Amino acid sequence: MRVETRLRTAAAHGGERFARAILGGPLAICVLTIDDQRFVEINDSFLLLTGHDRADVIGRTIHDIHLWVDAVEGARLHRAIRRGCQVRGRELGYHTHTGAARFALVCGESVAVEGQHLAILTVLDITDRKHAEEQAVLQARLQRNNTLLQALNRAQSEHIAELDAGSLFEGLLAQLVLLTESRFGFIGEVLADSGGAPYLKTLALTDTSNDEPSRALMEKHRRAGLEYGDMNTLYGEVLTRRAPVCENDAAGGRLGSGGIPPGHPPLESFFGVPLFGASRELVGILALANRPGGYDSPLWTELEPLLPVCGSLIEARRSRHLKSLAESARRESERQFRLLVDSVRDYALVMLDPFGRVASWNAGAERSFGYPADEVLGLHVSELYPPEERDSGAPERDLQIAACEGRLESEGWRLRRDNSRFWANTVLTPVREEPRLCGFALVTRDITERRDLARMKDEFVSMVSHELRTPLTAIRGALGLIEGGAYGALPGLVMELVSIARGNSERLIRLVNDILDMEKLEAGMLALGRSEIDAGRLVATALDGLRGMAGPAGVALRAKVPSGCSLGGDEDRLVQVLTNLVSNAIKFSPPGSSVEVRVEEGPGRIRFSVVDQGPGIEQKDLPRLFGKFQQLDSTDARRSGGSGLGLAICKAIVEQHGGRVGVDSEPGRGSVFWFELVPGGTS
Amino acid sequence: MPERTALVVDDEPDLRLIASMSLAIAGTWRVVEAGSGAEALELARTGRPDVILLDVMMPELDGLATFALLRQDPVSADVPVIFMTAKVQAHEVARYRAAGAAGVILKPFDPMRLAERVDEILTAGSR
Repeated sequence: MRVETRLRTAAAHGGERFARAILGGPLAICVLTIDDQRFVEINDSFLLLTGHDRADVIGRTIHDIHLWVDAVEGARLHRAIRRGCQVRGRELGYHTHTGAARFALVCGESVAVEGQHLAILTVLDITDRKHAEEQAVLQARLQRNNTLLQALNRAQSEHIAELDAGSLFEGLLAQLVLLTESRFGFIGEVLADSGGAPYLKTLALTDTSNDEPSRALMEKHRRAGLEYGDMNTLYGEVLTRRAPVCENDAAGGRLGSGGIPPGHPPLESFFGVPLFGASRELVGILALANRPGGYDSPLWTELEPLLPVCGSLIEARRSRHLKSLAESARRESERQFRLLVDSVRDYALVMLDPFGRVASWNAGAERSFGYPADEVLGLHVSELYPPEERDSGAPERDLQIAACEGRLESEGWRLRRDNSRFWANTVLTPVREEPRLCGFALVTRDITERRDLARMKDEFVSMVSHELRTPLTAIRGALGLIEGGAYGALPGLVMELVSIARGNSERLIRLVNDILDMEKLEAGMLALGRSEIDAGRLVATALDGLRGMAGPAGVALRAKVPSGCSLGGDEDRLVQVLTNLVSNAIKFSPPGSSVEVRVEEGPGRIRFSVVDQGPGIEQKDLPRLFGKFQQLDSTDARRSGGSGLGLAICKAIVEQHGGRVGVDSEPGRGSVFWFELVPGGTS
Repeated sequence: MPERTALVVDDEPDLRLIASMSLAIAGTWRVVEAGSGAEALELARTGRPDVILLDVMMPELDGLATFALLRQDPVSADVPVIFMTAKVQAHEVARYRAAGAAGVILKPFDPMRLAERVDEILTAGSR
């Protein structure tokens, strides 16, 4: 027979004894009326449990003795019993007679006895067990907090010690994942792309790989950091809302909403929190996933106070990263600059301090002056000047002028280490960090060779000039005498031949003159005289010299010059310019036309114009006119007998006077060749 | 007009001849030739010319040096000297004038006008 059946039988036969046995047992039992929960019967254990006296309980209701701590829960219990439920193992808080709150495990059901509906409750005190449970939970939480704190402390120390950022965050993430009982997670930094849109870059990522190839791939990505830019995801929501996002509903669809890389295990629960830096800027995100049972508020409460440190770590790493980028950029640029300066060997590149002492010295300076850097640093720049210049204070003057004017270019002697001299071209420039003078940049070039070459060229030109002109003088002279008939007349045809020879010898002479002139002008060696020139006399001299040419050509010469107009310059050279322009005009003027020289005074300038009524010049030919060896076509060259240098020489002479030349012309409308000079003349 | 004497100094014989023949056209000049500065000094002292045409570029004793020496000799010190030069730069011409020359004639010159030019210079100088 089964035990239950036996008990029932025993109860049926020996009900009272049975009842006494049960009621006398350790379990607290009470019997209540079903309607108003009035105590009908209680056993001794109940009185022991609650500490009440029998008299205080019997006949009174549950409410009267304030048995249940939570009246609502108590009412629910009773309703369940009234409905006919068998309540098993419900945990309720109860009060002892002193009002102390304890925990109980309650069972109850309704019975009908002699027509009365009653409720029987059995109450087991589980207070100790409950306390133990709570203690355990608290302990666990404390333990977790401690471990997390330690993890954060370590991370901070690692940061301060400037350890590799990767391992710092890896370690931190590992701890967080462990402590939150998650399966995986990541810590990411918030960055902005070139368009300003935010995206995430992982700083640490749990390894979710399950085989060798994917592990290798994982390792590769982990180090570089994976980038996620899709804001239509759970982590995207964290970023956009700047608030924690929690999702425990695996079936809800949000957890499958993408953003997870392929091959990644599916999400069952997710918890993402934003990480803020000290300035409340959103710098990163901590994302955890797949905690068994999901994520809840208590976890967030535990985690929350520790998050600012994570944010600060990300922020600190970022600024350190930026600083080191800037530092290496600066160092690289400095390295390249040093390379550049050192590689220049033809120019001495020297930095002076504000007092004129050598602060830096390149290979070119060593080559030019003969001093190695370590011997010359700190020396004053005047040590590089010859003694007579030093005595006259030239170095200090140079520095002063450079500082005032912003630049000084000069040529002069410099002294080498072995006391030998060289002719140098120097540019001295002040270096300022407004408004403070921090030093000078000195660039020096040894141009002794250039100067020697210039001198040699000068001598060569002189010699050539003499060597060419001497025989030409003899030829010209002899032919001139024959043509002049001074020593007897010759048959007409012979005279014609002599005339041709004489004319061509003159052409040669002009060519030699032009070439030598051009040579000197280009080398800047044509020394211009300076005198006060009356414009009228200048024009008259030029025109007088050309009457012999204009007359036979049937061209009238005219001048229009205001009186009292004067300027400074080299009179002979300016006559040369005018003569050149007017003779060109005559050459290209048809018989019966006129060539006019006009002088006009304007603000700060005097303009000379030579106006002809010739055929004019095509637009396309205008730019070439003042170039060297320019003839518009070879027929002109032969006819006009020019060397092609005339206009180039005019341009050079005028420009050396500080003026400019030009031409206005149109085919069929004649030409105006003009030049402008400043009244002061050559500077 | 009484015949005047011109001393033509040039190391190039051809140019001496051209100059002589050019001066001779006018009919008023007797020409004495010197082929060097040294010869010129000698002939200037003995010949008492009315004008010296002095080439600038000569080997050994050049025109300017010769001129200086001519000045030092009281016999030739007052004889007007005209420099003959192929150098055309204004500052060089000014140099010769500054040295005390009566004038400068540029080479090549027009032989038919040489006598005329010499007269111009001498007239200008005597004013």
